[in-house]
Amino acid sequence: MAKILLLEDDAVLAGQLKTMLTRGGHDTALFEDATSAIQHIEQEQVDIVIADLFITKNGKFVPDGGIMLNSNIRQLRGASIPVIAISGSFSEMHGTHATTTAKTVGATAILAKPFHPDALLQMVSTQLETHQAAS
Amino acid sequence: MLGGLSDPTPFPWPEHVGFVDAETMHPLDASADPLQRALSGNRLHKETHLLRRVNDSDPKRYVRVDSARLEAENSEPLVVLVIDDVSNEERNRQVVERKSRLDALGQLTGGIAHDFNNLLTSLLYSVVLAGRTDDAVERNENLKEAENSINRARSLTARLLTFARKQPGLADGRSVQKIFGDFERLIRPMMEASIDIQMEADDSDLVVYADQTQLESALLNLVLNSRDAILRAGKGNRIQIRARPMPSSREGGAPAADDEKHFRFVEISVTDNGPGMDEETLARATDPFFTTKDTNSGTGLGLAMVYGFARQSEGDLRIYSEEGVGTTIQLTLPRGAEEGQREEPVVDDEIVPGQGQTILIVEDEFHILSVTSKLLREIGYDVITAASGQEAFELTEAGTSFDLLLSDVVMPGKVGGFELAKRVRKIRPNVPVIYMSGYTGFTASEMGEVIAPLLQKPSPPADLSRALADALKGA
Repeated sequence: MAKILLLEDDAVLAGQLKTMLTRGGHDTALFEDATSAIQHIEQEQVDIVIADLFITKNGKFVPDGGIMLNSNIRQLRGASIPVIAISGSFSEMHGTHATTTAKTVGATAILAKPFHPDALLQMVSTQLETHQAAS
Repeated sequence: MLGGLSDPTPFPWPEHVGFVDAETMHPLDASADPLQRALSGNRLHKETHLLRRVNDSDPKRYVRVDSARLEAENSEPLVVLVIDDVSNEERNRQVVERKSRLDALGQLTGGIAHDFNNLLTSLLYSVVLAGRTDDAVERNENLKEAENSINRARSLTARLLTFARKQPGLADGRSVQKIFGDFERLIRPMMEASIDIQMEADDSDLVVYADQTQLESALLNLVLNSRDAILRAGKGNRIQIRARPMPSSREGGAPAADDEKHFRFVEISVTDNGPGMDEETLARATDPFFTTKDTNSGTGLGLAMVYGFARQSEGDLRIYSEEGVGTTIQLTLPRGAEEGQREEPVVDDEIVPGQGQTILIVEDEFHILSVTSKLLREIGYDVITAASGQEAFELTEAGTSFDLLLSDVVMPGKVGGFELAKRVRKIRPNVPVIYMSGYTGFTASEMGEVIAPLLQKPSPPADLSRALADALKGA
């Protein structure tokens, strides 16, 4: 069981992701924007982060998403927490750009939407194992 | 063209020949039919229509129609119609327009794909969750959620399709209010939060007479250009879309002198406070295939298409750009009447004459300087000219007398319009000032010490004469 921080602005999807992660045996804290997620990391123990790279509010892209969260995690905790970046923008025309951005800000893994629930659970355990082996 | 007809004129209109709607292929209503309108006294001016000859299996022809009514006593109504076959031209244009529309669509898709992938993920989760539970209530909740995702996805694709499916058609009249409302719904979700979009119209009842599908593409191209310039340069945060009435499409807004009546226009401008263009970019901006974007994100056809659309609509396109300040692109299009037709020619707006006062005009572009001087002399002012801010300031320092300063804003050299006004006011504290600029994105704080009216170039003579009279009245 791991303590997971989940950043996802789509309320329906966020609930579903949380349900699946909980069933996978994890303890999941859910946030809709990077600002509140960062506060959580400052105060609580977090083993792994799952973050939506691009967050929209009222239909417009806002900077308060996974990119901001990632850069803050690296400043706060160095490389101590693995981060899975999820986004719907990896595979189309801005795809290479989004992937590069994710790597640059320090994501350790990337998952393109849409993904199967099992793929996410699988990636969470792989990331945790790799990370433990490394540290 | 009328099916081998060679009767001596005048002859009755052949029954089997008619004008049809380009989308539905049904005969046009009497209110839109060029023949009916010409017979009822309207003068048609280069209107494009689709002509059906003989029968439905015969290929339709795009034609350009001009008309004039003949006055003859004791006779049925007589009109002269000039019908040009423009089918090839029109079909080529439609192909190119379609290509440019698909390019713009590609740019929109990025944002929509992101939302769509979110919905697909949610759908996948709902289905998997429903399949893995034995609890009927939970299963139903998940299936309900799946249905919701599908409905949301459907409205997304509907939005894309509405844009993609529209065919370039023929000119039609639509109010600025409607154009702006529809366009805002299309563009708003695609814009970054860091860019503020403003839309304003001097008169929201203004009707624009153009192919509305192409107009939407054109606006989309202009706004995406502004957005890309702002994002690429990391400079700027504002895009303004404005509409105002214009008496003419020509430079300086002046109609030809011997024209008693003339067509009026509507100008729609897109202004950003992005990086602006350097001279080389500006000179090549409307060239086909010229692009400043990455090789895989722009084809260089956008602005060329917008220009083509403007010319083909009998309007015009002008670009004003100041490096480091921003860009204004003005699209001038014919003004429409309420019934969806082009507006009939009208008589000029009234000019407010001058009373022999002296105006100091400062303008670095010789052509505009001479046109403006000529106009002001004609309407009763004395004129002194200066080709730069520095020259105007030296004239003022030397004690040259004038009653009003009319100055361009951005000029080469150290003294721009705002700085000039500041210096002039130190010597002549009460002299009225009017700024003029093609780039209209300036804010009051950018004007600095001297806040004054800003006239948009090209300024219609009636507007300019009113602005001068108002400013001088206050002095």
